[in-house]
Amino acid sequence: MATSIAREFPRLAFLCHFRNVGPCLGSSTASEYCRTQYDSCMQVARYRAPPFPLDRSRYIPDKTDPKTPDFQKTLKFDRKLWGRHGEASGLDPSMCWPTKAELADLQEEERDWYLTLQEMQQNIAVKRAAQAEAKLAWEKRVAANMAKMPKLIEQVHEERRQKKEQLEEAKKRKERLIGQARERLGYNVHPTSPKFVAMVEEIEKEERKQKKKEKKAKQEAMKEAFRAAIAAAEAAKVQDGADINLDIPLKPHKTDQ
Amino acid sequence: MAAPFRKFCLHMSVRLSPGFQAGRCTTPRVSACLCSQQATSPSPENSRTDPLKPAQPEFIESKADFKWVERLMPRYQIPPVPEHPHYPTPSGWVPPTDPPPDLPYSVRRTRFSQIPVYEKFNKDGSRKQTIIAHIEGDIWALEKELEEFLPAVIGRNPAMQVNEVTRKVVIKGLVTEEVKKWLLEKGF
Amino acid sequence: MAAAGKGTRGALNALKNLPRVALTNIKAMPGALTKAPRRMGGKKKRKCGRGHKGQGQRGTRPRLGFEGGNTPFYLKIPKYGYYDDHSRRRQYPPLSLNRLQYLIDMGRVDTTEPIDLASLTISHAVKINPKRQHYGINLVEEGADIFQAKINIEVQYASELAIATVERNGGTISTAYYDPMALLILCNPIGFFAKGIPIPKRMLPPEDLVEYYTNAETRGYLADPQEIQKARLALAEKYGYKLPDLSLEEQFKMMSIRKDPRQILFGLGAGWLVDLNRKTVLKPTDPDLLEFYKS
Repeated sequence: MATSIAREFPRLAFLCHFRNVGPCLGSSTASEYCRTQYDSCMQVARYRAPPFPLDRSRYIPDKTDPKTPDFQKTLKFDRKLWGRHGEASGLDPSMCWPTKAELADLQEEERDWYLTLQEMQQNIAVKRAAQAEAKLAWEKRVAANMAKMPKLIEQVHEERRQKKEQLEEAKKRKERLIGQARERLGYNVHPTSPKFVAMVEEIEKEERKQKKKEKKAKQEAMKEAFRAAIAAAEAAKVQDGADINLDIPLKPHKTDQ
Repeated sequence: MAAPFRKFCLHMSVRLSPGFQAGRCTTPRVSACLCSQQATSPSPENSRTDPLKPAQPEFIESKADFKWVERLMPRYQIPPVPEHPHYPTPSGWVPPTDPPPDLPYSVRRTRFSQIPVYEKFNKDGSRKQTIIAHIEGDIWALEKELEEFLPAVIGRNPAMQVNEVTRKVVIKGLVTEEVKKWLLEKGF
Repeated sequence: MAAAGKGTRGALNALKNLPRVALTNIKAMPGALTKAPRRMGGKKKRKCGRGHKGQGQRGTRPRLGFEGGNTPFYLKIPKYGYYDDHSRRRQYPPLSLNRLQYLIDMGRVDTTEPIDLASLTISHAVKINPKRQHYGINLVEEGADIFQAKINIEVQYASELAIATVERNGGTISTAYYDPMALLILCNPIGFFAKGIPIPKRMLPPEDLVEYYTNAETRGYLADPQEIQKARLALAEKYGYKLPDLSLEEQFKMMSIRKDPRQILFGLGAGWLVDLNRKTVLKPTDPDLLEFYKS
């Protein structure tokens, strides 16, 4: 048996206790397609691997000998001897399996360190559920924010429009002022020149005055209207004998200028 | 991956060294009678005597199942190429013509039944060569035919070295595929 | 160089067959190239090749990567997350359909039997090194257009097109996980049997791979067979080919062979011991052992 393994697989000969492995003749590894009519001189010399250097077949250590290294007295080594030499090692193959105590240890190990498939699948399900939940929450948040979006966009547009209008107004005013300056002075003035600045101040002063005047006139007109209204009411009271409220202020409320 | 490997180590080395043994015995899982037995019996054979284990070997032998082991024997020989219904095979392999072409030279297939044309680069890749190996017969006739064939491929006269001792032709440049195809067409 | 004849005649005949003398095959006469022995300290007397003074002469040069007071390059560049754990990630060396077809054509892989990692490694078709974090092979789709073999193959990772290509030809494919110990056995089964250890049982995949190997779309070995059949039909529909009916074929038995999830080698169960010398397989009968080794 062992002989045939050695013959079929020369490189495995060291696994067998059979010593005289026949030499591997010729170029057995070459395929039939690599031979030609000019081949006569090429097939002679071929590299042949030397026999396995350490033929440890049939080495059974003497365990009582103090010179025997410790590793050769171990169970692992015994198992290896049996694996290589089988019956010839003189060992009982039943020692290759774990004993009851070792088996209990192994089982305990398995219980402590390894999850069953069902446990792992449960863990994965929990993880996936958490992921799905997080994704759902994210989607919800995005949807809520997207609902606000048109309003915010409108707001931004409005702000931009207002700003643009203000800018245009300022520009127009400046042009108008420059035009006024040209009319007054008769030549083009640079907007930063002191003359122009003085003129602008003057115009602003005038404008303020004008505004005040207009306001005063307006207030007067309102007072007049009130008086007229009260007079009319009193006339009506005289006629009807009805009571009227005299607590109405005669002046309109002052507004901040 | 620590756990399976640790388990493997445990499996392999359970009860190897006395220290390890003692360590295992201190765990409450192992019965007290085991510990006392080991303390009194230093012999390695006796240390495995287990009161819970039956005395007789508890296994059955099966000759029939060894066929599964025979399938696992590593192969150290290149198997012969099987017969194919038609060539080229799906992977593009073509056998050499039988009989071989009537030429003064011949190019032998490799051990793996491939055409022996190889690329070679020097260390920094600035020198690129194509090597034809396993040439038998008149190597100079092959060189002459290559000189006629290669200008159409590389667009200039080929720079070649012929080594009669190692039976190789070295061509400057990478023309592996073209040369392989050319040799196949010749029937090698 | 077989010399015809003996003596002078043989030598002359051999000379006729020998290649012509050239610069590449001649060598010097014996003794022509021997040098006079060098005197002690004859060449390197003054500075002994170490130059003049300084760190070079005294061997006190700074360590590798030191830039003389600057922050060295290797500390200046920040670390990036995508290199984390790169040395411990699982590796799956590729096996292309091209290469597999070549191996089959050359007779190096037997298609009449199920192909697994063991049959690929014993025929030297792939090289797997579990100590370099190799966890098996990855069947890649390169060569899907030329692949014509009909096989029952078990790999550790496969792309969708590779699966479709194998199934279109009437073959079957499954993806299976092997722990490093099982891979060591698959790479060298006979060497393992010679250790005298019973075949261990295959471990379950780690948690991050459970989804892959229970998925029918990836043809996982833990997936439900009925789901796999559905996935086969769905894939055929997706790629537009007709799925051959395996049950009508003579190879049906071979095509439907699958390993047990706890089994490492075809035909050999966990807990069995192989006697290479007597050519037998030993199976334990102890109920506790059977309980431990069962799937």
